[in-house]
Amino acid sequence: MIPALPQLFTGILGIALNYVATFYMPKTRLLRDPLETLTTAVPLVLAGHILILTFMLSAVKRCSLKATVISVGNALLVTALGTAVLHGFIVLFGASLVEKFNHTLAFAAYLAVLALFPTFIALSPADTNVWMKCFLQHSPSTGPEIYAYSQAICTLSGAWIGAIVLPLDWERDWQAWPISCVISTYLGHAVGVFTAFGWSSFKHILNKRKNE
Amino acid sequence: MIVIDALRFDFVTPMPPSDNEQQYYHNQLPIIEKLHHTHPSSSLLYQFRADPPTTTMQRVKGLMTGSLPTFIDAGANFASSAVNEDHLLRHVRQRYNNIYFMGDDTWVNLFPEVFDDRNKTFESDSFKMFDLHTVDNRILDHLWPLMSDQGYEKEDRWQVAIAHFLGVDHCGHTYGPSHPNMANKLSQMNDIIERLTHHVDENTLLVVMGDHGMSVEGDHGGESVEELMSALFLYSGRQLTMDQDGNSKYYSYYRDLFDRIHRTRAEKLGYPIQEIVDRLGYNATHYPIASQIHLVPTLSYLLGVPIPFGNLGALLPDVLIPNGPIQSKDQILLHMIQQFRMNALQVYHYLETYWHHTKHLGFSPHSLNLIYEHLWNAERLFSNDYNYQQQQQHDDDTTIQLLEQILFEYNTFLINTIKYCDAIWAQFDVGSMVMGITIMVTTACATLFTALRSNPSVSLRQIIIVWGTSLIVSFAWITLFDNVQKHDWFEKMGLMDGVVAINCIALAILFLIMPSSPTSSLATTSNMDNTIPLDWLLLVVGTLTTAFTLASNSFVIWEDRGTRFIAATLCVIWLFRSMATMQHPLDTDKVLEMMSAPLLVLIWIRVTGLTGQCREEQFPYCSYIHNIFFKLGEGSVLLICYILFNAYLSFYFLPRYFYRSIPKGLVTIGFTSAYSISLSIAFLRQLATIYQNSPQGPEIQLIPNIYLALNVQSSPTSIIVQLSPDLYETLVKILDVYAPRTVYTFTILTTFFCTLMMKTKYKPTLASSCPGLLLFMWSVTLAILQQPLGSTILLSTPLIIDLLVADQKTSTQSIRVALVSIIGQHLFFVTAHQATFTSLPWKAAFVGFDYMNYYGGATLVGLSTLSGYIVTWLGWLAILYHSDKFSRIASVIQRLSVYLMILLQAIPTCLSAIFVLILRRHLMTWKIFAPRFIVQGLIGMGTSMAVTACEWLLQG
Repeated sequence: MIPALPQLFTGILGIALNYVATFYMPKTRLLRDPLETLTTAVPLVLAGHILILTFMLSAVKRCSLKATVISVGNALLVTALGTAVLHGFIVLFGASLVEKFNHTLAFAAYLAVLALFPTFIALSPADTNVWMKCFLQHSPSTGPEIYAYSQAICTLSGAWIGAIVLPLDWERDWQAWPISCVISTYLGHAVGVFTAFGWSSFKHILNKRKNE
Repeated sequence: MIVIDALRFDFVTPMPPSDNEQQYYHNQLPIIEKLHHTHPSSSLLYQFRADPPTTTMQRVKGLMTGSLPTFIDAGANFASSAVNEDHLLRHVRQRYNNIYFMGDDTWVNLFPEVFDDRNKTFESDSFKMFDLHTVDNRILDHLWPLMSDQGYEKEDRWQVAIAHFLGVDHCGHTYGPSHPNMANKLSQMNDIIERLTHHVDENTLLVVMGDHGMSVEGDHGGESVEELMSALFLYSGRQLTMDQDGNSKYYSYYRDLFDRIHRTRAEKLGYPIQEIVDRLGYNATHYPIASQIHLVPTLSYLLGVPIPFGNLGALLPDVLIPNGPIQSKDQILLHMIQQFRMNALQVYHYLETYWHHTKHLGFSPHSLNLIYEHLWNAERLFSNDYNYQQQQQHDDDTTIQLLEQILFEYNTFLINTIKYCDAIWAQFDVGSMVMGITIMVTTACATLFTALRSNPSVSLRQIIIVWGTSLIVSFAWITLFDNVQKHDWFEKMGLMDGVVAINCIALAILFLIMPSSPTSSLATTSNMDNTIPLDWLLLVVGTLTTAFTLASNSFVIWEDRGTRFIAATLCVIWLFRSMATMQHPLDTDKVLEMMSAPLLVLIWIRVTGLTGQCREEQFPYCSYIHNIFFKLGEGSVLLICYILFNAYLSFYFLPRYFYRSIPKGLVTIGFTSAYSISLSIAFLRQLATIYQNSPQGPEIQLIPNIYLALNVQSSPTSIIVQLSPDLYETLVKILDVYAPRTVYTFTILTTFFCTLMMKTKYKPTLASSCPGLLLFMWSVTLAILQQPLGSTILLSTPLIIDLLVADQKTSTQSIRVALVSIIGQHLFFVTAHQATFTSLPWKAAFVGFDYMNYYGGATLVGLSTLSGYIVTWLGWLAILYHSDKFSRIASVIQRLSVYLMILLQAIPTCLSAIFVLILRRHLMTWKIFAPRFIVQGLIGMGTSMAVTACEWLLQG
């Protein structure tokens, strides 16, 4: 039996959604007009994730309407805050504050949605304790926790790794800020889902052995 | 002969006025273009291409000997010693007795036997000059009387006069090329040249040239197009080149011939004409490009002296015209061929002698065969075919064609020789390189290994085996030495060097095979909180990964940004690790306290990262705030804010912080006052540097003024107090010499006391604040060696290091150790250094010395370059000293941190050496990888010493 099946399902759904919203649906191409593409992609991704979150909460976890609304509101609030904080961190990591401000902001928003929403989809509604155990002490234990943690960390690491190609003198389109980082963010999220699958399955098997 | 230091070609050529930028250096020397225009047959203008390294001493050497430089010469720019080779001036001296010299003393150091008459040599120190005009005015004081022969006996009148003006170069270094002062300086040069032309008659040759160009920042030393393209201008009262009026029949043919010769040369030597056009903005195809070494044979020809023995340059064709009226078309061609032939035979003679003398395989007749082929061809054509044709009375055209062919064969021989020598003199001794790397890697391993183990012991048998082997290898080395060297291996190594190297390796191996038990404390590692070794391993893997980027030129070029990126990453990991210790429920104060340190460091790194110096490869994607950004008169509000901030920092905040950070007592007052005095000296020096770098007109600098009030643009309420020159001199001397020496003395005394205190544990509380004390005192010493902005940043570093030390959690210790190391590297870039020769801070050599002191100067330049890393080393000491030494786990962590400190530098150093070996034929070796390796080597050496000192102090 596969652990945390709904989380796996929504994770894969998320990958598909991100792909469609980033590379398929916008009329402009990411490589040519990154800013225009991102301004179309971010609302699409956000709307898609809100739908998935609502579905997850109301249909799978069978929360009340009120709880669902509160959770979605929380997720939106945290994503908005996260966009600001991540923008700050991107600048601290070396992006220019003034030049290409809109590009950086769009990328921060994209990153915030991709890194933060899946955690809500996987975990909420959960107790503060769970959140802290997961993200402050870095020790997720249950299936949903692993999915939340792995997706967030891998997405952020993906965004981080994308910066490595920036200084190379290959003169390719995708080296322009922030294209490489957007692509690597997307890939990071995908890797996160599969890592979580592997990790939770491994843990599941291990626990089974222990119980036997 | 007028040498204008750092005369870039676009300074002399007319440029279209550009609206968008203020190009103060354009169109300031109209006289050259005017002469070129009005006297086309008696003036010649070339783009004068320097051979890197573009430092004055190497250029002067190349200009007078005609030989190509070797790379490591650049470091010797500091102390120029006499040239032993044959050179042009020696021959000139034999023919013309009265040689006068004015200006840069590099010439006198290089050619002491020529400039031996004190009455005819008026040199000035080339490094120690702090304003734009002293040297140049001193030259002019002697030049004008000399030119008009005033007060000179008939037999003392000048025959050759050389003047080397330094003002333009100095202006570039101080203000950069785009500055009003540059316009003043260049128009002064213009007036000088104009006035000189009045003294030029039938029998006079005026040579105006630059020794190298100037980078965008105004410096030189590297090999960018801006630094390489200088100008050469020849002017005489008599005819120098083909005359359009007199020989109009042949004029167009010969103009075309000269152009063809220049074009072939440019093609063969691969001059990047398009790049010149793009970067300097003038039409590079309009003027011929002449390599600097071509000047030697050309001047020899014009002055009627033999070409120096070691010359590799080729004659410039334009000047080769025979005396007297020209009767036929082939007369000039024949004359040219004769001169080219002499030139070619001289070069051939040199190559032959070089081969017989050095037995360097690259110069054997066999390997030079392809080049010699052209010479033989030319000789054969000249002696057989040409004579044959003369007898046969062929028509003109065939003769001309044949002569042209001969001429081009000689030319090809000369140019191919230059190309070949340029390539082969960058020779690599793979054997020595491999040997060096082996020593480095084995010693690094041995260091780590001995650090990991305790109670090392060694048995007599092992010693005998290892030393025996090394003896045998040494013996084999000695017997096979000659044989090995014949095969191009180990040719840079002497006999004894090899023996020493073999024994070094043997010693390292001995340490590696020593039987010993793992350090007892390490045994406990297994039952420890497992995040610590994980972090440690991650850091080592990270160091390894970043060290691999040293093999990529892009990453080396953009290393300043890469460093900031890694620093930010480490800060974030530090933040995560700190927060992991938090428990539910969250205490807001505690959270803020924990988050504040990493975030503050992160923000400090980002903000300080706004300043620095650009590498020339980084343009146009680089816009640092220059370290001497603040100037009087411009952006006064910013300047006042900056000065007020500095005053607050150095008179109130830092002394107070310092006073509070050490335990109270009588000693405290002593330390605090020493620190405060040093701080105020640093502050005054910042003000003085800002004043010196400000764009005042030259007349203001001549009359010493001190501005007491700042020149606010809107309300010109400046108070100017004029001081008597004597008092001004004294003030400058106090500020430049005695004040820095006071700081050095304080720092040395503090270092001495702190070492004593930490070793004796006389007062434990005071001893525990010693690392901090050291950091504070050293930061001031390092700060006075920097430009104002870098100086402010260095003064603030102890506060940042304090944040790192204050954490004291063992779980974050290895991250903090790595972070301090990265902060050191970050500071290297922030204080306007780059891993290039262009950015060496020569000025630091004169902080505290008003004369050229070789060892003192070298030490100060070294300290200035390594400022950031010195902060790192002191920071390590502080972190380790403050960690909890009594718990068992903490002592394990401390050991791990020490290994980390070794690894953080040993890994990049070894890899950097290996990459230089692998990439030695890479296009960018000399520009990027080799300078980076030299910097890394310095860091590696310093770190080894620092870690040893740390260990010694910690054992206490």
